Amino acid sequence: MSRRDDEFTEYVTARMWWLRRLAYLLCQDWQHADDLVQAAIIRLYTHWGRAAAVEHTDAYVRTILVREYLGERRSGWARRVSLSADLPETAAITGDAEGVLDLRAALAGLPPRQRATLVLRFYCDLNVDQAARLLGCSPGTVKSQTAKGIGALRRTLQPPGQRPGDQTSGPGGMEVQHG
Amino acid sequence: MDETGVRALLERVADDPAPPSRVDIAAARQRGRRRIRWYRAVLGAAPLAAAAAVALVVSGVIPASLGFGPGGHGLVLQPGKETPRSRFDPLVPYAAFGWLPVGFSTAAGATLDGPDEATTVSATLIAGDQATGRLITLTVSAAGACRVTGAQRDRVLEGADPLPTFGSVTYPHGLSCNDDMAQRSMTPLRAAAPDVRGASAFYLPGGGLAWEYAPGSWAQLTPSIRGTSGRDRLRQSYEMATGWVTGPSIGAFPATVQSAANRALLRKIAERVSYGATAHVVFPFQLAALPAGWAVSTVGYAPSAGRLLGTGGLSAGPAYYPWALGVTAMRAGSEGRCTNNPGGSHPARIHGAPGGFYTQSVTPDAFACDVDGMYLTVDLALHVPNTSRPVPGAASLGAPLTVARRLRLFGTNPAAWTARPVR
Repeated sequence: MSRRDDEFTEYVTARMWWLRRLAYLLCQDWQHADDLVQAAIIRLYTHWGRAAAVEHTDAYVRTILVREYLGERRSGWARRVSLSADLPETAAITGDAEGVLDLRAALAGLPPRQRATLVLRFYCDLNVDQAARLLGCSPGTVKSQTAKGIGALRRTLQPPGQRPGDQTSGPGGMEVQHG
Repeated sequence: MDETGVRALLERVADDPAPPSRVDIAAARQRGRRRIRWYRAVLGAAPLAAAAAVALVVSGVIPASLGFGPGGHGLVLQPGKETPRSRFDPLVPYAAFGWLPVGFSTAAGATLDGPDEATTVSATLIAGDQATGRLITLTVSAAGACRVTGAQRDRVLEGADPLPTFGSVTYPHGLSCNDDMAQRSMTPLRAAAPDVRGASAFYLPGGGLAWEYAPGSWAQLTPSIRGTSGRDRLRQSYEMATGWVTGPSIGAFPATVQSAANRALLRKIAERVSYGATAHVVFPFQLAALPAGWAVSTVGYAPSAGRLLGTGGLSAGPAYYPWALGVTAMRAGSEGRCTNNPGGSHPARIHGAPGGFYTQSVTPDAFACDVDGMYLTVDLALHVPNTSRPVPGAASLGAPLTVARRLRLFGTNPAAWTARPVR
């Protein structure tokens, strides 16, 4: 193999765990996540000279992965092909044993861009400006997507009867921090 | 739930036990190499043109409105008089340069499928000047493949390339085309240009030209510089100064625009583009057959000694996924180092020559470094990428290795090649 191949293989092998989990958080399906990573590292290979030269290769790869995910959702294929099972908008909490499933369902219920915003902000620890650059939108949009995403998660994970609109619901309007 | 809660949620979901990875790094290298070959052979100029546009937006030198009058969709267009065609035959290139500046010659071409439709919607030709490294890319889109849009804000954000910078310039109009291999492309229209053979024309950011050569049918010319090495970048800076391409302002140096002379040159090239299929592309291989409902969708070729050589790759598939099968055959050694058993592949024999194939990839490949003097690759997608949906008919082809072994090969002499790549 060439030096380029060696460097690429070493990097991707070392970062595979992280890449797969990031993809999984974005799409909520391991099979789909592996396909996303596969597509992203193909693109990474074609840009390896530039990727290896930048100061933060991880950030570069993350951008490729997220844009691969969002681009796929925008593209004709996403419209024509059922990419993965769409989970319901809401999920009921019935007990701790199902907690992880509920969390996953709640996350999956978010629109893709909103989910990507939350993942970038709170899993990748990007600030608002960094997330805005990666997503190609304004910082204000990142803030509003963050607020909407957190609000949707809060509503989804609230026990039945306490959701806004339920007759037995408590006070809503929890504060959301921007940053 | 607050931010802390979201962090905890994400950490918890990310800790879900992961199944064994299906990601195939060796296949990614192989696919990546093929993509690089493709871009080098056929579409090498496009990324540079895009980069030039990026640089402009970053520097903020592009004015918000230029020469259109009122914004919105109020453009009155005068199309050219060519007969509109809704698809091109990928085996018979539709457009050709009728005139090129001294030193330039046609280097490569391709006819591509769009990402959304089962029609061949774009014909691309690249001409280059070996001495200066200057390139000119001509893209001719089929009728309906492009449409004029209203104000376009920040075209860079539409790109799939992870460029880390962007701006917020608004262009009064844009040209949205599905002539890209990956997804729909958006090109802002920078300013009105003189008509091209009676057709409405516009200058593009980065120094290109677009014109409506037939009703609902657009063509574009884009100047760029070959290569991406440090020396090439230096060359590009020089060509920004000469006005061949545009450049950003850097420090005390002002932004550059394409010179009037180069704009006139592009208009002259555009005036003399010829439309209509003429010569056939010839191939060094022939496929045994394609499954029912499949067709050749994409072809890359290079002119040589009066022939159009199909060495840039051929894709075929059903309308559902027109790139399911890919075959490339080019002179052995022309792509540099090739090893018959790189990591992740399995040894095999293809037409008696040592080769290899992958078994774990989503789109597995078979390849041989030297079969009768040719470097051969075959890739076949049994499922539409990113889905679990099978590609209709793909299973009937078997595996890539099966396809490779059934290929009829014609050697290295183009005089013996065939214009019928499918039996």
